[in-house]
Amino acid sequence: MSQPSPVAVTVPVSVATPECAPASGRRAQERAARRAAAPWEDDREIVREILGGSRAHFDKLYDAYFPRVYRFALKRLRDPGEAEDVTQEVFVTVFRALHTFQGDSSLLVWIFGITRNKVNRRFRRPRPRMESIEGEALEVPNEEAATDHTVDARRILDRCQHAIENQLTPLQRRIFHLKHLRRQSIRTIAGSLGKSEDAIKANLYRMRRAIAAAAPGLEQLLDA
Amino acid sequence: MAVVAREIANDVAEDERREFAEAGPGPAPADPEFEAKLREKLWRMLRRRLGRAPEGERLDRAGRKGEPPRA
Repeated sequence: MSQPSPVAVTVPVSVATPECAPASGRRAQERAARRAAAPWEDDREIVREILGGSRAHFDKLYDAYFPRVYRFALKRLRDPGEAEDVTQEVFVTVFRALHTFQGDSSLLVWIFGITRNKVNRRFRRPRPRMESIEGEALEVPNEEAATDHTVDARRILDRCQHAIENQLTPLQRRIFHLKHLRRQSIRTIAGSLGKSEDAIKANLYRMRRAIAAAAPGLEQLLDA
Repeated sequence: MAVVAREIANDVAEDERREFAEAGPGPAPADPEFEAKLREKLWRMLRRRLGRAPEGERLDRAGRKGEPPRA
């Protein structure tokens, strides 16, 4: 049987307002996160071992990433069944493509990218029909989908606009205006509003979360 | 608006990557049965892709399932 999940013993680092941490603290958090993400020394080595047929290394990778993928999906999709479908899709993709992993980016970044794309696809188009885990084959639905990206982008922008106008507090709207339209630095905004820089960063973080929640698939704009 | 939305999307992606890396507490743990079943399915899929028989099936000496062993 598999070993207990290594991530189960890691100490979660708060992400409530990551921008609030001082730069040195943030770097330490990021280092801790990298260690927590990969309880092995070398991504390429674990991939080599898995491709060599090592069950122990397969379990290590699965234990390290299953909770991350599932939690990420569940938090956004808010449906355990959907989160399970996405988790299955992600790992099928990961293990099918593992031989192509060159180590140019970390496994963390690679698996995160796959996870985010799979979650976003759920927002873009009718839900793909997954085969039951009980079935013999583990098939991922065809990536080809009739998607009108222009319409999608327009819809996402409209939702962003709506969220900014209706879901942000007056203070957040003011900060939004100064940061994104007037292009002011956080220090300048803090000075002009009589707030601490941490307070501005925390508001920006909450504002982003509100907009992202109101406009699912926001990351598609990065590919547009 | 598109430029600003893209900026926000970029920041959101960075927030999410950090959240994914830190593996903070989630809304609820996964069903252990699902986790275990998926693990075994994936392992069998990987073994097939690697050209190895799933554990418990000796294809290395017996050839294809149901065929007589090779000399």
